[in-house]
Amino acid sequence: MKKKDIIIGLLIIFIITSLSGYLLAQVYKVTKPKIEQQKKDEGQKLYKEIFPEGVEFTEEKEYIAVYDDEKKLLGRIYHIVQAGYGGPIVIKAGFDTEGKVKGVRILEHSETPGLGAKITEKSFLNQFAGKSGKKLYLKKYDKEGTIDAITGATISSKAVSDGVIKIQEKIKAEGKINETD
Amino acid sequence: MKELTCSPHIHSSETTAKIMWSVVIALLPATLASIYFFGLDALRVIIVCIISCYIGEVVSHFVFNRKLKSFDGSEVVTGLLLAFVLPPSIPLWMAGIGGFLAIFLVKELFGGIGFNIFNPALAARSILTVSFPLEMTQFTAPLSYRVDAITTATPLGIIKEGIGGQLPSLWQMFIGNRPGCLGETSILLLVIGAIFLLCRKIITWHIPVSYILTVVVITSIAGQNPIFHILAGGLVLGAFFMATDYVTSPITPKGKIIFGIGCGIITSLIRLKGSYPEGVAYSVIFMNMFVPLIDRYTLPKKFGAIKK
Amino acid sequence: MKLIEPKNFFAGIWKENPIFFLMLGLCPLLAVSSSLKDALGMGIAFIFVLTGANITVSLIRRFVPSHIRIPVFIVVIATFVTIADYSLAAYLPKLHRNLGVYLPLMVVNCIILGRAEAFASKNNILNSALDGLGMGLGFTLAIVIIAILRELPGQGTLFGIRTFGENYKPFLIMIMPPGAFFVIGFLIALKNSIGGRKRC
Repeated sequence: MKKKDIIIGLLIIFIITSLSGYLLAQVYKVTKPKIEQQKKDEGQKLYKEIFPEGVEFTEEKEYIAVYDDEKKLLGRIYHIVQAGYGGPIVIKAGFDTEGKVKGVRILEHSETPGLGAKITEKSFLNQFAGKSGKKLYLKKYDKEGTIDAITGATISSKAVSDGVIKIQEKIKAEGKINETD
Repeated sequence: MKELTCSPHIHSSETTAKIMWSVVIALLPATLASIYFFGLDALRVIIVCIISCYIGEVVSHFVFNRKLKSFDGSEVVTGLLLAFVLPPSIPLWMAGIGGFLAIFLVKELFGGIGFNIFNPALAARSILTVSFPLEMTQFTAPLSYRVDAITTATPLGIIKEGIGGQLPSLWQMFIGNRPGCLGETSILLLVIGAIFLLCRKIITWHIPVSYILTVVVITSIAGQNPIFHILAGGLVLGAFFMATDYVTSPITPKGKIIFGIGCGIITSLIRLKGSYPEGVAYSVIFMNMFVPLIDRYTLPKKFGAIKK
Repeated sequence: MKLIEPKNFFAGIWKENPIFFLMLGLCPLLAVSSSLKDALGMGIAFIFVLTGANITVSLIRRFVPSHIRIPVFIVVIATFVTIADYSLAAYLPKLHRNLGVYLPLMVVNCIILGRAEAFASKNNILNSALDGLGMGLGFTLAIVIIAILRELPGQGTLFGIRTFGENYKPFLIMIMPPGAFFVIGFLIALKNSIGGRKRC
């Protein structure tokens, strides 16, 4: 190959990549605000589902603080990754200031469809709402537990319950609960 | 069916049909035991499995335009073995799908008897396990101690989930009075059937012995009771009747021992570390894939071939 | 070749269908065919990228020396894929999330690169556009058929709408990876038995 060919080739690649770069920059400019808005909306929607009373959600270092319209702290939403049956389960759980669970949602998981995947269903997750302490355990594992495991998917159910319990213990250890009793 | 090796071949009076019916006879005691322990549920599942295997055979003969071969009893063997690895409470239509798939998908699609890569019964069971995980993991207790709860956990399931549950005694597990798949429970009668097959020289000792020994060694090292691991789950059924399937196991003794050890390692790993309580089905299927490779490296050199 | 030839359009749909006859691009086909919605989205993104890349490659075919054509093709394809990626993320975020990594993976999809190399770099713009549309439609057709055959038994739904009633027990293996292999295997077998297998 002659030197000339190499230089021409380089030049052509340079022109084409610059053109493509320019084009992509334009597309990026148009779509970026949209994409960010979508992400934000999605987050807000999720937080609202976990914490229906919340009006303002602000991201702190380790959690998302939930305020009502008078800027009063209602509670916090935590994020935890727990090992499930088929892989990690990403759990978001909201706790009010008294340490009771407000709501639990599953962001990501790779549990068995039709079995462990049922952890995302409301009928399972709503069991956690309003509970605290040992009540968050599965019935099978603790006498005081009140959570019914999904039939045939004890391990997945236990992972969610363990995750919620872990968050609760963390909150307790950090003293983020206004003990009322 | 004859083992295919390079010549010279010995002519014998064994035919495929003869071998297959011997296997059926060997499975008979355990079949009766399953009906005794699980009642009519077991009988229904067995009948549906065998019939659906025949349907699979007929359909595939039409679809693939093959000549309708004389039925050689291999459908009965596949159907029985499939029923043996299903829970007794399984809905019958699922058992039917399993039998059909075992023959159509796993056996005939790969070229019919003698050409299938995977053990038909176990492959069908795996498809069912993946498709209907709930129904495939619900086990009913044997009739004799069905007190309150109808569904219970198998002994291996109790250990895996780590929750309180009454483990059956070793003796109960030996005679088969425990929850589990239809035919895997009665170790005593399975062993009687296996001894019959060994005496008839239909199976050899290599695979079962190396398989079970490997499980014993690994579970002992892991600090668990090896006797429990032999008696619980489908190890005996798998080692004597599934892993020894002619078509899907290696030909030479050396290859068979490698095959058995491989099965044993995978079974123990799944039981000890995996998320499923039982691993016999998957380990046998997994090792099935290695059979061509094992055969390739363990077949004796042809006479007159030049050593490389 | 004439300025415009309709047969270029129809070739991709059946006679040279990239999936059933050329057996190319099986990766996105197997991965995102578990639901009809995702499959349709993938198909449309695919048509967009393939047609765009074909037109562009045909447009610049005279300026690009042959020794640098592959990197140039990749840059062109990557540009279109990234446009599709951004737009989906902005306007159809749910579909974007479901397609996941398989959308960016289109950059190295062998159908797209193959059409750029085998067709667009040798033909005029109109014919290349037709070829891209046809091949894209052929791919979409294949992925939609496979998605229907997987979603229907595997979830008992179509487009997310229940078709078999509440009591239907889904045959879950069909929406898992093995189901994709089963379906495509059976479809290719069916095609071979209809169209006759090409023997070499």
